[in-house]
Amino acid sequence: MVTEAKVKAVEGYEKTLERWLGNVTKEDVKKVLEMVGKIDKLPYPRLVKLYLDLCSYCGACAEECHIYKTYPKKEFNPAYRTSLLRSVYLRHFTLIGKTFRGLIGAKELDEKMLQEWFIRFYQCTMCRRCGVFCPFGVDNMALVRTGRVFISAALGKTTLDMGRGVDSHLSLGNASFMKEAVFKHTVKFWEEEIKEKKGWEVKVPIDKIGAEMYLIPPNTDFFHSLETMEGITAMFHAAKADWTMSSKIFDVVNYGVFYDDDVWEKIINMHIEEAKRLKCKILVVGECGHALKSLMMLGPSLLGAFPFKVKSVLEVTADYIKQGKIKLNKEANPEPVTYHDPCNAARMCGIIEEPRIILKVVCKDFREMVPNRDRNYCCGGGGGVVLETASHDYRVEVAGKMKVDQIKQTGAKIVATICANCKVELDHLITYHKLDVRWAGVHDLVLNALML
Amino acid sequence: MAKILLGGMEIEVDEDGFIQEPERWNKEVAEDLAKIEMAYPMSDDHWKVVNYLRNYYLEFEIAPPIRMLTKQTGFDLKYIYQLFPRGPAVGACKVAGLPKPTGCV
Repeated sequence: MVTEAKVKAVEGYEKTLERWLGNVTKEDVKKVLEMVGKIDKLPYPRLVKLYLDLCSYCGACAEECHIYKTYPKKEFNPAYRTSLLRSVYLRHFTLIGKTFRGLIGAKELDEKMLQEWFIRFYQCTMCRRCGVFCPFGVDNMALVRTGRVFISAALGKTTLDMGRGVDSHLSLGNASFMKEAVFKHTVKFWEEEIKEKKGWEVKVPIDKIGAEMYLIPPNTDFFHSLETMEGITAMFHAAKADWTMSSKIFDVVNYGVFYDDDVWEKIINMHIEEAKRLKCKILVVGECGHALKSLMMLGPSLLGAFPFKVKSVLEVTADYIKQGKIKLNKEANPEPVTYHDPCNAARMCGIIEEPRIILKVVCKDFREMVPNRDRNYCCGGGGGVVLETASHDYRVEVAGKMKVDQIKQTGAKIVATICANCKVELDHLITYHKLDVRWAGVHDLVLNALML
Repeated sequence: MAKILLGGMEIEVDEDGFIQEPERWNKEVAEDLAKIEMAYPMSDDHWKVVNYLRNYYLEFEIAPPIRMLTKQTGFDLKYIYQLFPRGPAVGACKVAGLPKPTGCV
């Protein structure tokens, strides 16, 4: 049901997005059109053109979109969203669109259309669920990202906190204005925590050249989910792993994934260069969704093979379990636990069974939520939407509503996940909807269950 | 950037209401920010959270990990949400006069 609160939440965020884009001039429109004209210069032009060509407006995607299902208005239909890009491309860059624009829905890019682009592309959480169900295989997420890329490349515009995060990243090497001294102080704190909780003397290796694994977590975990760092550290300790972190590049997030190719490349190069400097064999991505997409999928496809492997920390831990390298006691987590599949981890990178292998041996009562795996629903904070304070009401009332219902149905007391974005969104959902549940990283639960 | 009246002074705030002139923060400014954040009147527990955040910020120029905050104050996250309904990052940090934390918080 579309309640008054939902209407207010959506309208509020739409107004904010409009304000962030600011006044749009004819000159701005021209600049964006020039970018659309350079579609062949995109890193994946054939795919984008194929997706622009294929949609038949059958509506299958709308039925699968968590936002549209919660709030069925035309503008939230994924096919409508991407038709904004399609109609402009047809009108300006195809012969048929230039000639018979009325017949094929071709539309001019003007100031109003550009505003609508910004709003619709940034309302999408880029979860890619609609793409799984499209009979033609159209990946609407790729088109939404392309629209964001055009605007960012032409006008340098994105949403407020995403832009701030990137400014911080390009100057300090992390998205949260964190300096090396803070990093080292935080490491010391979580080492002490492990000592208190487990009685183990553990040191996090820093800048160890030639270590087998170089771990980069999302630095959100330092602020928001330090237990995850404690769990990963303790797990490496128990498995006697040869690993390191870096005192310079300790943040794996890369917001360029969400909106800008140049930003993405600058940030991923920080990760690649540091992995080379440390001469690691495996770059291990901490509990982070979009960073997996950056380093596992986009990186090797667009920049060529790396001289090291990339793994999710979930794969590492699941392997240790299979090899019997770590001992776990599931009695340590007696409460019912469910698992939220982050879209970028599950649908994009296939990290699906690893967290389940782990949860089934660290929890007494593991329950699936439905649907799950690559058919999961987005938490409501994907695509960088959760980064914005101003998007809170939109996320808790609309984008995350289906996730709330899913969690309730499991009866679980803990919802575990492996993405920093999802953890923040789950925190907001649980608080706002007063659920008798808490969120946790998978490695938070590993920490409880680990034995030497 | 807008200016608003806090503790009897005109202070510049960003669009989410975080003060931009941290050196002008004082008890009265905090109390006016607490009114905006639905955390007024401020109890001893409110002050315990705010003072911890403030001191950490003065030393490290950033907000502390939530785990440090809950450990040093002895309050769990649920209770911090009771004190500051918009949570540790948006609610408590704002009242303590910190700049807005960035990146998935």
